[in-house]
Amino acid sequence: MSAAIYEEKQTDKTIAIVNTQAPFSSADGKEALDAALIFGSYEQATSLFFIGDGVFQVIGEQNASAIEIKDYLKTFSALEFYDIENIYVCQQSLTERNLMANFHIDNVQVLANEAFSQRLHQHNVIYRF
Amino acid sequence: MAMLHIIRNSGFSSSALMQCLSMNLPQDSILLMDDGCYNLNHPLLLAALVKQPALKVYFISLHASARAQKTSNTSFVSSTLDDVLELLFSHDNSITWS
Amino acid sequence: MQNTLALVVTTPPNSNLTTTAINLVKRAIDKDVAIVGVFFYQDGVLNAAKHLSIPNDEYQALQHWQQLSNEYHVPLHLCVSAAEKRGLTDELSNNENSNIDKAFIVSGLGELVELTSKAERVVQL
Repeated sequence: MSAAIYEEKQTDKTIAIVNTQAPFSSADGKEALDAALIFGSYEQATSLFFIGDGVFQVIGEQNASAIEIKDYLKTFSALEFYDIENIYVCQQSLTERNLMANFHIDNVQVLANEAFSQRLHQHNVIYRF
Repeated sequence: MAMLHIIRNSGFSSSALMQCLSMNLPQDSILLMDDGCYNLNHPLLLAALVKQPALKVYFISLHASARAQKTSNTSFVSSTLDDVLELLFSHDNSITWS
Repeated sequence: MQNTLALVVTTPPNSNLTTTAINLVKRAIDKDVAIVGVFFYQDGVLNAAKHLSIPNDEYQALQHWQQLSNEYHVPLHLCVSAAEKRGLTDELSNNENSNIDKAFIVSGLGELVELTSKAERVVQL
């Protein structure tokens, strides 16, 4: 019976994982992705957001192994297996950094500030890394 | 949905304050905690208040006074950790910028 | 009806940010807000390190977590994969060789999913 209650309670929470740090010098990006994949494996509605230096996680042509990092960026390709399809990147953060919309993952939606913020607001629980 | 933005570090050394302000929507509130209290006189926050006078900004008075941070701006609401608990439940969600 | 809250702690025991998290949990207990659990992730897992030696006249974060666990039965969940990367073993907490304090429950990220769905509100500190 407790399982049934648990089932009922977890129905409609949506989770946002917000990435604000560049990928290699801290473990934040990897630990955010680990969390996102677990939420996905438990079939929780999960979205990923990239803002500020977080956008450096999703740009193309990176070479992590050259600096002796296990390339966790490749793990982003697992997101679609967990039905994590909402991936949002902040347009302003790209512009500020003079970056093109050239990403190493598919299904990225680049949104202007207000649209990005409105999507973020639609989530019940927000974890920022 | 109304969001509570919790800022825990200084906008002079981190982009947290700037990011928070760029994600802030009209029904949201800002809570300055820990080193976030150093933002009581940050130009970006003061400019945001001029632009959006209804913006609610709370700060933990104990955290501010411990850091010798003062404000005479009546837009800032002096708060306690008990108030933080109320804010968490009176908003739909929260994000911690640090 | 009682409000329910879960906390995610990502700061180490020697940070004053952790003191704020501990004080918030204590205020919640006083105000009859039910703490569904505290989840320790990222550098927050270091709070469970039982061999940390902090001078007597400094803030003893571990003692406060122990009190919250022992006296108020606040579940303290440690993310084991994050803990192992920071030198904490995943042996059971009652094993004398473990360097994880026994106030903490060795858990995984699945516990974060559960706390997230169970609590009315979650705050990351």
